[in-house]
Amino acid sequence: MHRKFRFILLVLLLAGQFMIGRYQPSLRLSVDFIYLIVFYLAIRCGFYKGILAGMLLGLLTDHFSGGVIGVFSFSRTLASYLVGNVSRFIDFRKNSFIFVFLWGSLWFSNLVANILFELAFGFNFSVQLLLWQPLLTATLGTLLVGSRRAKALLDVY
Amino acid sequence: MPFDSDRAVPSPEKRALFLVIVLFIDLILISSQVVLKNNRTLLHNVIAGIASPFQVGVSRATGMVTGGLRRYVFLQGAHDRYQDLEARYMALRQEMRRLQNQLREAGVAAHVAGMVSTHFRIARPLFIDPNFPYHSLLIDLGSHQGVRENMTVLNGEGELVGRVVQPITQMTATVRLITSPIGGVGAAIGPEELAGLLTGTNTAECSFRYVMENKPVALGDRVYTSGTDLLFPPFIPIGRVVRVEKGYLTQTIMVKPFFTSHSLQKLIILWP
Repeated sequence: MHRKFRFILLVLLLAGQFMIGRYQPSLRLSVDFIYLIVFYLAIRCGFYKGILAGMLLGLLTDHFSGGVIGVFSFSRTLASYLVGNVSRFIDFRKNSFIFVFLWGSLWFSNLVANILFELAFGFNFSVQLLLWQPLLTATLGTLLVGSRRAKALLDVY
Repeated sequence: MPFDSDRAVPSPEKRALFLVIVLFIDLILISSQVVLKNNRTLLHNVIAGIASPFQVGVSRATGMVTGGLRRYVFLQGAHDRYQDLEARYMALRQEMRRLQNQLREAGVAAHVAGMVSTHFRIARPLFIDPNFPYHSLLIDLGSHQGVRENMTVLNGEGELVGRVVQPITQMTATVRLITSPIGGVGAAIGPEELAGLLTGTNTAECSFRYVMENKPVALGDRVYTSGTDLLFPPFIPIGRVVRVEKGYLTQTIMVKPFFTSHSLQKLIILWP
């Protein structure tokens, strides 16, 4: 039951990001459902799988964001490493901790991506990436796993 | 949460190595999309920078081995070859004197003396793209030896091959051949000195353009640089006319460069 629920949720998150990229391209940098998957896999699946998930899902983010292949992959890999290492000290029973951890890790990841964009391609810093995306994604992520029922189904405790 | 204490945790060294490998793969992906000022990607430049010393090393090592073999093993026929070279040297000296006299009589000796370079370096080709053999080649001299863009390149017979273009690395440089369709050479044909523009066609022949239809051009006429393009010194032999077709206003003249018939084992880079 848990596995089925997790699978459906991951597919829905992927589909959501795909739909935003396809039908609302102006919002594609405002929220990142794929990061929620990266975050979940980084805390659930151990070091190697978490890092690989960060890299591969980062490539998918690169594709959906219409940017340069490799930038988000790099930053999500780093974020995955950070989340995997720090998660053992976080009490996920408190939603405020989930929110702050999600927000902080995504902000850090987007900051790395922005620095890479600036250094390699001369792109300007993006308010969407540094402000709105971490805020919205962290809010949505906290709402998703906020209830006890959801935490139990996702094995988040 | 869900930190699974039962799962085997890899050692810090393995974790760091794995992370660095994954990040390195990402950096390679990114660098393959960063285009630098020379219109090549950052990845291409890095690979060229890393690979060129190895290319030069291999080329020099094989050169030393084959040179040693030639000098110390295959000595038979050396005396005959020496005699032959001596005879050719004498013939060339006589021809040079004759040409110098002709130039002096024509009153262009000072002009030529001012434009023809007397400094040069010998280079050897490292790589010719087999898919585009008439486009460009890589030589074993680079910016470290003073090679700069637009330097004239001749073959061992003193015939025009092309000029140095970017990218130039520390140990290698690219030579764009005159048979490449990019760019052109200011050239002249025959004793009449009919000026025009020689452009490559990516084949063993070049096209000589902008000669009026009524000007006499014969098969076999020699083509040489005119110096009008301010890139190549004048009077460097280029090739011979192999085909002439009369057009409406101008003629279509095909020229076979001399260098396509000779070996490119040795190249001469003229210093400006």
